[in-house]
Amino acid sequence: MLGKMTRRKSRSRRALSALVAAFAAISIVCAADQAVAEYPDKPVRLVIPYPPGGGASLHAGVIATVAEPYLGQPLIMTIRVGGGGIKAAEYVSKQKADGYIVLMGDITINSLRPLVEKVPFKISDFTPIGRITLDPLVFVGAKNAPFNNAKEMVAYAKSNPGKLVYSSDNVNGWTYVAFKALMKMTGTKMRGIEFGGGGPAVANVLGGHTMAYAGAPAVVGPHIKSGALKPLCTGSTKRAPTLPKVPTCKEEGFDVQWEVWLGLFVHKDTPAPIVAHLRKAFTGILQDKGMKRLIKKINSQINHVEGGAWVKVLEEERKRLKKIYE
Amino acid sequence: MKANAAVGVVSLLTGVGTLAFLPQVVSGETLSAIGDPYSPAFFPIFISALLIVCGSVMIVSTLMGHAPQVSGEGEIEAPLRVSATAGFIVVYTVLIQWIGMLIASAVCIAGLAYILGFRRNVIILLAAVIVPALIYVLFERMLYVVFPEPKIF
Amino acid sequence: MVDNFLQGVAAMANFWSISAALLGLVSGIVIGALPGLTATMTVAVLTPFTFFMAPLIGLPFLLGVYKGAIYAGSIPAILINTPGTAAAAATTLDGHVLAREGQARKALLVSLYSSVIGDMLATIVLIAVTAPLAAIAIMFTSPEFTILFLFALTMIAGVSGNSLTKGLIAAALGAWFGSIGLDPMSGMQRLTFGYAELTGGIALVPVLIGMFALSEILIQSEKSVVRSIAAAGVDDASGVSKKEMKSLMPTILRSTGLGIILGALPGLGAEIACWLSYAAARRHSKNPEKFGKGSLEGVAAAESGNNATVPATLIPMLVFGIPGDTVTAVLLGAFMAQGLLAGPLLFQQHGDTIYGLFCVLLLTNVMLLVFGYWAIQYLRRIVFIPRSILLPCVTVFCFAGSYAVSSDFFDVFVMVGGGAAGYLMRKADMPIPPFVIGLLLAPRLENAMRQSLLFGDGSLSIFVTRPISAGLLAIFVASLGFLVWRSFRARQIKDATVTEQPHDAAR
Repeated sequence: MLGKMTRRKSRSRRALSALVAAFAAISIVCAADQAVAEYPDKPVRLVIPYPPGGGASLHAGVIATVAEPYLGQPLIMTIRVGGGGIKAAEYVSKQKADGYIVLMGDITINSLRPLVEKVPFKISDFTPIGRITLDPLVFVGAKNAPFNNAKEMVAYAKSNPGKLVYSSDNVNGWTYVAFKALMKMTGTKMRGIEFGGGGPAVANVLGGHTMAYAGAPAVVGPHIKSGALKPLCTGSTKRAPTLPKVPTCKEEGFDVQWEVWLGLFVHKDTPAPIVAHLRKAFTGILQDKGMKRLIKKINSQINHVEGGAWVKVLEEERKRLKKIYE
Repeated sequence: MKANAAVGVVSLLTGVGTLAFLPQVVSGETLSAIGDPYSPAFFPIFISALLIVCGSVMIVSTLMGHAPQVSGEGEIEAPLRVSATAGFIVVYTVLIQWIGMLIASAVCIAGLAYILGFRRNVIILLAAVIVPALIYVLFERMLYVVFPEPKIF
Repeated sequence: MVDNFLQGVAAMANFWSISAALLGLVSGIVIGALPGLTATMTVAVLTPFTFFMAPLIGLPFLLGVYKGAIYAGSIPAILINTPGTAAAAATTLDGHVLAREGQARKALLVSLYSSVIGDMLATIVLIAVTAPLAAIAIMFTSPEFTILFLFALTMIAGVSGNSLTKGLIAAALGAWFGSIGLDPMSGMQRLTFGYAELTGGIALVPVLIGMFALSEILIQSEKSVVRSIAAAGVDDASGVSKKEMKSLMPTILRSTGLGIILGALPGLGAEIACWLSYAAARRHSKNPEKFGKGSLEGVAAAESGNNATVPATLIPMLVFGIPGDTVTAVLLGAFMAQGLLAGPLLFQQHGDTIYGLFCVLLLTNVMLLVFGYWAIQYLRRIVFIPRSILLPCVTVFCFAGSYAVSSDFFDVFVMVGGGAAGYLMRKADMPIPPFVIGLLLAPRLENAMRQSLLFGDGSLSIFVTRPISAGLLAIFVASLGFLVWRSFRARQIKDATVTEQPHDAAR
């Protein structure tokens, strides 16, 4: 009789354990699902890698202004300057992958520099959410430069190696790479002075202290129109919409394609449902009417590619970049 | 004289130390990088040279009795109260992380006021409540600055 | 230009624009007066809110904030010896001494009047000669900036304390700390000793707060009875007489001129203008020995110098679209969001809006004068609060303010470190301003030096072959020589009086 009782007890104990285990499993799944379902339940931070006033914070400000209805929570800008944008990326790569920190990255931070320099993170440390902009850089010459168009500039550089001084921004920054590509394509040697950013770089070419520069159409456009700078060529496959009279570098004889973009990323370990939510939200934000109006005001245009599709575009791009540095 | 000499010595040591340990402190550069604008050691070398020169001038002029007198000769009056104040500030720094900015600030105001000799308790109480409240409104609500979460809650 | 101006006045003379400017001004003053909260931070946080506002509301608001914050930095500088912004550091030298002598109201009023006059004159210059001034400003580049920065640091070292050498050591140490982090050109790590937190370098604001405010509580804790800032029984509520203001006008005019020129150069700012104005004022003053001991001229020079830079920094921004400092960079963004693309086409396409804004700037000055005058009668009473309760409250604000810079607790540690260092420096009579400005200028000076060498292809001759640079170099060398000569003279006089006494005693 004792044997029967123990057998019954062990059976019910087993049933009980099974029930507890099932309950535990269900709760864990529910909790995880809850965490995702409740996302976001506090404001999301957008980390910006460049000082305020530049293109990055400008676009971020516009996005932050229209974000709340799409995200479900306010989007708050946090600026983390340093190392030409590296610090912000490193910071995001070391945070919790809970989807509350989004990095505003660009082509140099997320594609180029990890390929050619030693930086404290890897390209694969981030999951792309969506691209925001894509702009070519336009090569311009100073008013007193000894050349008036792209062909003349290359001719001058060929016959005066090391004499053509251009305004650069940072090593492996937007302008730096533009000229590196140009020098490689044309086989010339030019000298760059790194000024740390677009502002001083433009100031120097305007003042005639340097001979050339490469910048976004929004930045150099007004100076071209007023005659303070000479347009040379645009580094992309078709002419810039706001500068239709400026030929592409390909038309001028050197196939330089250097288009810079701003885009959003999160930590690579962010759960898939949260990534999907963010991708959907930002697609909505970037198509918002108010957003479009504001973007036009800052003389920019949206060139959105959604996260999933963007991954492929990025891979292609990294292959191209490696070629410039060989 | 002691204070002036100390200043000179600190300056000299910093300059010499930086140059001596250049490879360790500046990613492998050496003194050969003098005058190379591309080297990250360019500016530290310049500053170190300046520190060495000025530090030496300071030490020499102190020994020759030319340096201006330091008021109070650098003596610390009431070292006990100064240490208590400094110590309490360090405690406050730790407290913020454990019990949160608001409560820690209330404690800080009360504690520092007491160390400094303020005895009107009603005012201390008022300040300890109003000031953290003001900080909360101004920083967390208006400027979106979120203070670190207290570790024990 | 005149019709644009009149159109602008018409556009601005509406209730909403003026209210926006006033609201901005008051907010800016409150923010600027709290040590740790800077104009930059406030403008950066508030800018996105203005994107959806009409230009004539959003922009006056931001400009009001900027102006208010720059002025208000002098309030804590005078009252509690802590500049609210780095630009008010020079005001602490004489302003706080006056406050301790019970003349807080006079100091605050002189600061207010000088700020308003300087700003007014600079705004008029901005309106009238923007283009020519911008054309001159663009002629300055790296070699000129190098000399200017070295000149500024040397002047600060020379006038903020009683020993040029100690001042230079302070400046060099500040620059040393300023080199910590990533090298601006190559991105390589420097002086970080392997600590990840240091790769971002040492932020200025926590150091500023720590060295001035936190060191103050430590210094005061030495006194046996921690009383109020103003000595008991001394309550001089007198204002500033017309005669006094008249005698200050030459100083104000000179400082305003310096502020306009320095403000128009992209990259330089109020933080340097106040010092160069102060040094120039001391040089030309009939009572140079009063400087550092409560000279009204000192306060007037520093305040009109730094406020005059405010309209002037708008010049490179408006004419070339080049931001001079972080605040103008943010303003530039705000302008762009309003469809006002800065640059050569701005005046042609949006002349009326721009001139409307100029009107707002002038109007804001008047509002500043009125509001400031009213606020001072209450502010001045702060000096009668016992330090033993005032300083703990200030301390708490300092912690909050330094954390707020980047929401990084490391900055709080930096501030505490700054407090300890500031205390030791004050015990050793080493002036703090050169350290702080050295820290601020280090990256800019470094860039300017390295770029100059790149311009000159490795040779130093670039500094003398460029005319402006050569001229500045000459002024620098002359001023340095003057400072050194003056300290020799002071020593000679001291030695002479010492040797005379035994002679007399022997008789």
